[in-house]
Amino acid sequence: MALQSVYKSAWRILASHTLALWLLGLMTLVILAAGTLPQSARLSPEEQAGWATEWETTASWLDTLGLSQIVGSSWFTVLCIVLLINITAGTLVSFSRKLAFLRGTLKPQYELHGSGELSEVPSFLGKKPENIGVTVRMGGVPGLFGLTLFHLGIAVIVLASFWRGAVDFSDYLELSEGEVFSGQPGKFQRLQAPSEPFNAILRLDRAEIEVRDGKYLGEYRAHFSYRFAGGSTKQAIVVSNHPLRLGDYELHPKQNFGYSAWFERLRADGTFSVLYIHFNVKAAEWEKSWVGQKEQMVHFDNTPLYYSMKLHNTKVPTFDLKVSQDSEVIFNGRLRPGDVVDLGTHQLLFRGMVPWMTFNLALDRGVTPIFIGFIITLLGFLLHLLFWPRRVEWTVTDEGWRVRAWVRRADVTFDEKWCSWCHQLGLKTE
Amino acid sequence: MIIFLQWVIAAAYVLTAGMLVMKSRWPQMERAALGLACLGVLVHIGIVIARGLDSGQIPIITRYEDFTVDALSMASVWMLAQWRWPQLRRAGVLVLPIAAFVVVAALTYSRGVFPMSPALRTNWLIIHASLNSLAVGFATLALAVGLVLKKDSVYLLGRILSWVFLLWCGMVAAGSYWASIAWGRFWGWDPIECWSLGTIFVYAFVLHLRMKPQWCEGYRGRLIGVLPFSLMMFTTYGLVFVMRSVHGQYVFQ
Repeated sequence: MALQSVYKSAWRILASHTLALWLLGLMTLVILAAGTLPQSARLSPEEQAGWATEWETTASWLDTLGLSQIVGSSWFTVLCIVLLINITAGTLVSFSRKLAFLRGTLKPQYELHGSGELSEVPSFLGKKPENIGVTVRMGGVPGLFGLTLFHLGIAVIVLASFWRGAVDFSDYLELSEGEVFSGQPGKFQRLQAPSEPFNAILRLDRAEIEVRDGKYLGEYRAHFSYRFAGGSTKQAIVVSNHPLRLGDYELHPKQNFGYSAWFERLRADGTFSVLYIHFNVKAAEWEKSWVGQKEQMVHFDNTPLYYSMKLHNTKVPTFDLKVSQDSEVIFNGRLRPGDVVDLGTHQLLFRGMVPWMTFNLALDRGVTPIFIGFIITLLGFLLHLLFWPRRVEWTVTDEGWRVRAWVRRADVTFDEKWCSWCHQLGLKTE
Repeated sequence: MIIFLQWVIAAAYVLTAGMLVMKSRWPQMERAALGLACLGVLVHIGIVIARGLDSGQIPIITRYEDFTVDALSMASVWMLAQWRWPQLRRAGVLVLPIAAFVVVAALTYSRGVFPMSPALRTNWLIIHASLNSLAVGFATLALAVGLVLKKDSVYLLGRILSWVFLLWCGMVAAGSYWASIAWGRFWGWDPIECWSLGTIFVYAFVLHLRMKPQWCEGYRGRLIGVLPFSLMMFTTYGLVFVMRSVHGQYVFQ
């Protein structure tokens, strides 16, 4: 018996409107904090390091309080789960009330009875039975279940988000013109392997950047050749808002581009690999001659080499290279296409300059249920706003008549009509 | 010419608001006030159409265009709402000066035409931005209903707040779908995305709060629309100035 009352109390709390208010208030604060405070998921490693150095005390406090990675933290997940339970429980309770509304077993908001004949019944109250009997007029039923649908949609979104978090993959990669990609983890920004096998091989045949008015990005097109294992080679052009579908994956262009210095690296054992060094270029500089600059520590075959590089975008591209090892300059000179540099452990053949683009490779199986959730949510709320549920019940007996009405609390139109009718009948209303 | 016309629109809106205030003394002023507001809205629509024809693209890309369209949304939503529910007419006393301020504030930004970046060339931009402007229009009306209207008309506040909520949710959903096809992720917890979601939660909070009778009536019931409105305004106009957001890359200041 005691256990039953505990269950009942727990259910009452979980389904309560007050809990919903607390959760909504709390979620607002949490979401705004996530959008305002520096979040580790949003910052690049350099930005994170800069933030931790500049605001040492604040950063450590935020870390301690679990506020540096709000979304994805366990307490945020718990909050979402409690919200989900509250929505489900509250919806079930209100759904039973709505069924009672349909059946007319709730206490009516409006009721009037009398004896004798009624001269005229206004149209909003439906038809009174001619003889002894009961008539029920229902209207706006879709509106009755609008909020139920809305909350169901929210539950679908939350559940799909949990599932999505476990299966999705998304990372950026930069591809130069002529480069081949087959899912190798080293190409990704976060150096992580895709969560599901990437079964395609694709080659960026042409990277096309078009600039308008000398400084605005006009077109951004990537021409690809691709094929799946055992399949034939296909061609596709990828532009913004039209990703390339590769099995379960999608490849999206990101408006980040530039030129790469293109090298072939020849090892002493005769093997070679292709090397692209990317230089960012803004749209305003794309059609002009510019000099890209980069300094980088590079580890080739466990040998750390310090590279100081300059790419000159001229009619015939040139590449200034200074390579040092332990403060000793190994090479310092200007390369033209076809020039070879001997760096001891390997040789570099400068092939020229090609454009590169950034893409996002994404696998997002949870996104469809989330959008279904969005549609259910919006449709539900629209039904709630457009349809006003009304149930009017007339009862005629030997002794007289009775009219009862069940409406939504904020149905002011009905209230006005009811009051006006009562006024016509010479009755006073409150 | 455009600058002059925008000042004329602002003057028409402010004058209408003034005439609506004086309506209690001279009731015949109401018709003239509505005529003036109607004229202002028509000129306003004309400016937006001319801008679209001039730039050859939907005029909701730059800050100037955004402010101009939002001001039009505020005035038009009030215009249509008071036509349907005449008791909302008085809300113009607050809505129209705000619209006038926004249409003049638009002039502080560059009126230059900037070609749309490839990611913006989609119908989803039109859906996303239009829903945003409509939500701003309804939210301004809700604010005015709460602060200006007489007690017996405040019942409309809940209904208007519900429409704001729906439009804002629609705006976020449309933006989210667009992000999924443009960037490969439907949600990235970017500052603007977080604040937009925060605004949804605040409106949901307010709509739930209104189910408690003590929050439906009295001064608390009237002030209820102020907080979500402030949040929406900051999310729409202020956030990109104080925080780096992926959305900021696409807005021409």
